[in-house]
Amino acid sequence: MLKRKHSQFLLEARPLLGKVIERLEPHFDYISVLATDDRGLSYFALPGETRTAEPMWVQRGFVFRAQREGRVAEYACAVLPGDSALTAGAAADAATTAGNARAAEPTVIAEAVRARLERLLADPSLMTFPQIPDEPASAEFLGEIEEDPFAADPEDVLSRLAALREKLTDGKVVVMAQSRYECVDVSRLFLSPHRSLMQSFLWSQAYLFGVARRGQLSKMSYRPASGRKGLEILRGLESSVPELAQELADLLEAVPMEPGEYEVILDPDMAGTLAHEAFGHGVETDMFFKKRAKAVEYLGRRVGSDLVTMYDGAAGVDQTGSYLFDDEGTLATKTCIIEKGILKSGISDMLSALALGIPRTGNGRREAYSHKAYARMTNTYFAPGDSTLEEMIASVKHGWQLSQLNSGMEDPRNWGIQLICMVGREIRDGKFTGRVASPVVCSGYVPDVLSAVSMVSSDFELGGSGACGKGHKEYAKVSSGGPYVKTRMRLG
Amino acid sequence: MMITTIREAIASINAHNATTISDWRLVERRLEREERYYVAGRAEQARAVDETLYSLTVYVDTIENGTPGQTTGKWRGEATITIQPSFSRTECEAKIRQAAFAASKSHNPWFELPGPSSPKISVPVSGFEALSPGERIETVRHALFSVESGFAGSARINALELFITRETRRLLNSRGFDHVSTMWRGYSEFVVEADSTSGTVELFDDIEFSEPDTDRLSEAVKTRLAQVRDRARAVPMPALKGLPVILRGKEAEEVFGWFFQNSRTEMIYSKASAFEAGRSVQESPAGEVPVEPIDVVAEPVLKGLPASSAFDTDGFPLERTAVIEHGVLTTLIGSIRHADWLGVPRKGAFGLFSVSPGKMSLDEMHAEPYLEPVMFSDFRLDSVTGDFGAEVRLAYYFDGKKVVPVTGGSISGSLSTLRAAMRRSREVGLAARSLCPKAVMFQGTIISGAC
Repeated sequence: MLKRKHSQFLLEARPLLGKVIERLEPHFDYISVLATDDRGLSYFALPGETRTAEPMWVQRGFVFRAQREGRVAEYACAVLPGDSALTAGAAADAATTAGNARAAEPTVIAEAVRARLERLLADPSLMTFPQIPDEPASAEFLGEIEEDPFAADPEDVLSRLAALREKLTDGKVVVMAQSRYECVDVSRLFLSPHRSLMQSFLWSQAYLFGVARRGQLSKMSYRPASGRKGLEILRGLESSVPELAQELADLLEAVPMEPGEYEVILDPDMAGTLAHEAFGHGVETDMFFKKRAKAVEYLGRRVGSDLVTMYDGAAGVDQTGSYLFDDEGTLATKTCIIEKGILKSGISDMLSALALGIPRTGNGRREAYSHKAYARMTNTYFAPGDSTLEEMIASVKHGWQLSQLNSGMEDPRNWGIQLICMVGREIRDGKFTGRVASPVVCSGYVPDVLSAVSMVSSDFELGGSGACGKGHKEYAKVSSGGPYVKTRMRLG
Repeated sequence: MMITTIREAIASINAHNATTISDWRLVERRLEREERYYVAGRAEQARAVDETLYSLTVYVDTIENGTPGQTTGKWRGEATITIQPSFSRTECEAKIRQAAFAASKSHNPWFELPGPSSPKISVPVSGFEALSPGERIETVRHALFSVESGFAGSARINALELFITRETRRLLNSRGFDHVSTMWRGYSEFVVEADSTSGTVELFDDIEFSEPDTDRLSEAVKTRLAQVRDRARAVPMPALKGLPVILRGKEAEEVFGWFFQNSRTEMIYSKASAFEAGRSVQESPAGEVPVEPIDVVAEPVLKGLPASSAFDTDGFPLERTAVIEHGVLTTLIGSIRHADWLGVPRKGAFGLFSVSPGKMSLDEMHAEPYLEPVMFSDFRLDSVTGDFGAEVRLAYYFDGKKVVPVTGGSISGSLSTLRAAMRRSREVGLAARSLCPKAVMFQGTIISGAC
């Protein structure tokens, strides 16, 4: 295994930022800075075309958070203000960033940051929060991977991706395929007067997409791979090609779903998204703070069957939503949200936890340094049960096994649920009939869906190839999954 | 300063490196953003952001001249990287050198970058330019909140986020193209709520804007306040079969956007789109003839929408272009490289479009029984397959006698089968990225009731 390294930029900026924080501390009741230096790679193999680029999560910058008399303000910047040495490649010589950082004057930077924060804090419409704590802590984390994408020859990566898409494209049924690999080398530094935290790890995701066509009818499906891993995730995709090719051929024969309520078996990706949408977003405590979450009335009450136990946490499992500390400097935890059907706890960011007087769970996350922190999920999953998938299929009188998630959406106030998947396979009297439906829109009332959970498999898989939005923005890397879950849902 | 550093780094690499950068394209984006987060009318926190982004694409050419077993010709590889404004000259040069190496490993047909040219249209100056930062926030905030009082507590704003960004964008390339533009991007998302007998219900919406158009902003909130009041008295959607479904606003735009997207050179080159130039885009797989052939025009500018631009991201000058005429794809738009590879004229990549009005008025659409969803959990329309579906948060059901607000259940369907018979409203309006009919009506959509 190869251990990651902290960003050189952050290591060299650390002493300077420490001095800036020292100079700002007397002026505010609370002050901190999060510095980020996330680099990344994207490789694409498209029909007749290959290219490399960088993922949307690549970033380098700073966000200062200040509190005075309860009011909170943040100033985010790509370059430290008032610091000419760090500005826009100013050093035309071969000076290193370290040299720039050392040359910078912390007092000048601190005054410039202070001026911006003072202006923001002067807004009379700002509400007040209890004092943001600054408990002493010092910790660091370095992740590990097998195949380092930054050390790989780009030609090798592109060749592997091109081979994947060529293997899937037969020109008869599958008319188009594309493959993609991307990774982000995350590096974060959090400093406050009493906290010093640093973490660096790499996550990767990859996809193989295929399009099947007959005349004007097109159908699409995909296989994903992900993890806090390197290029080794491509191995899983390479073995998935025959199954995906068959699935695409089946989809051309797909029938529309006959609307109705059915027994359904959700694959781990679908089940995890049910957990994510149903009681992940619904227990983000900034939703409690805004009085937008029905869940707050149900804490300690039954919301699902005894078979339903659900967790969220950046600690406890290793997937794309894992980290040592969140973007507000709170150490990661693992939260039991539902235990044997009883709603236990929410997941919190700093400000909503303070306002509500509830524990901080380390779920304050930002899309980037330039974005606000919200209460966000990390790795969200159902705990495994003791059934086998075969037993679950055999138990279905008439229903559908659902897979290949397209999307999901939450409704924290009114507990609706939407899941859309690309593949539904019909089961009658415990056996697959061979009929396929696509697309399938699954909906229902969340407590009904969770109360109807009648079997949970002993499998456990987490997938982190997607991103989670808050509303329609603020994308954060998360994973979800767990076991296969049997329940009842309305399909259409 | 950074642009000079990048230019010098490229020159240095070309002077000393084994791999030569044949061409390059650079985008500098300077963003100044004010943000407010309101909860029950008060600001949760205040944020300000100063951000500068540099995106550099390097192109490396290779010529293969008849090696046995290989294709002869000129090829072009590319790699796109982010240059951070805090990069030192050394860091900058190292990263560009790595990009050049990566570009040399991809092997695509050659194409030429656009050179200097004059814009063919002008983008109007935004009204935000004349306002101070405080005035900008307050003008928009007031427009969004002012309509709340008209509902006398029967519906209200729970939370609202407001972002106003001034972006100065400079696009330049190695062929001498150099253009600076200023754009304003406003965005607000808001949650409205109302009390029902079984508790509080809510609706979520967002709006993009580039002008302090207070009427448009107020109307967006007012519409949702009225609708959330209806959601509070909505009944579960019954099982409905064979009813026309009317999609409005953003969802109607999604439908029209599918035709626009599938007319793009990159979609057609990759075979992700089944559209072909000169052929109908509205014939169903069963060969049904379109009831109401569609016209789609690519638009460089629509006043009030942030994506208005005189040039595309490659620096190609944009002008209004008819894309689909009377249901037939006549002109491909999209990236110039894919246009070259397909052997069709370059038209550029547009972010905006317009669609011709239909023959039915909204009143005529509403004359017969229908289901009209106005808010979904998350309407999804697959850009490749045309499959769409979503759970319904609020719809209006007309049974021929009365209109009833309903909630729950879902709709689904596919444009591949429904496009021939779809009808458009005569009324048009500005949406997020288009000027298009306010409604589209389908026969044959699958409706799953909530009970």
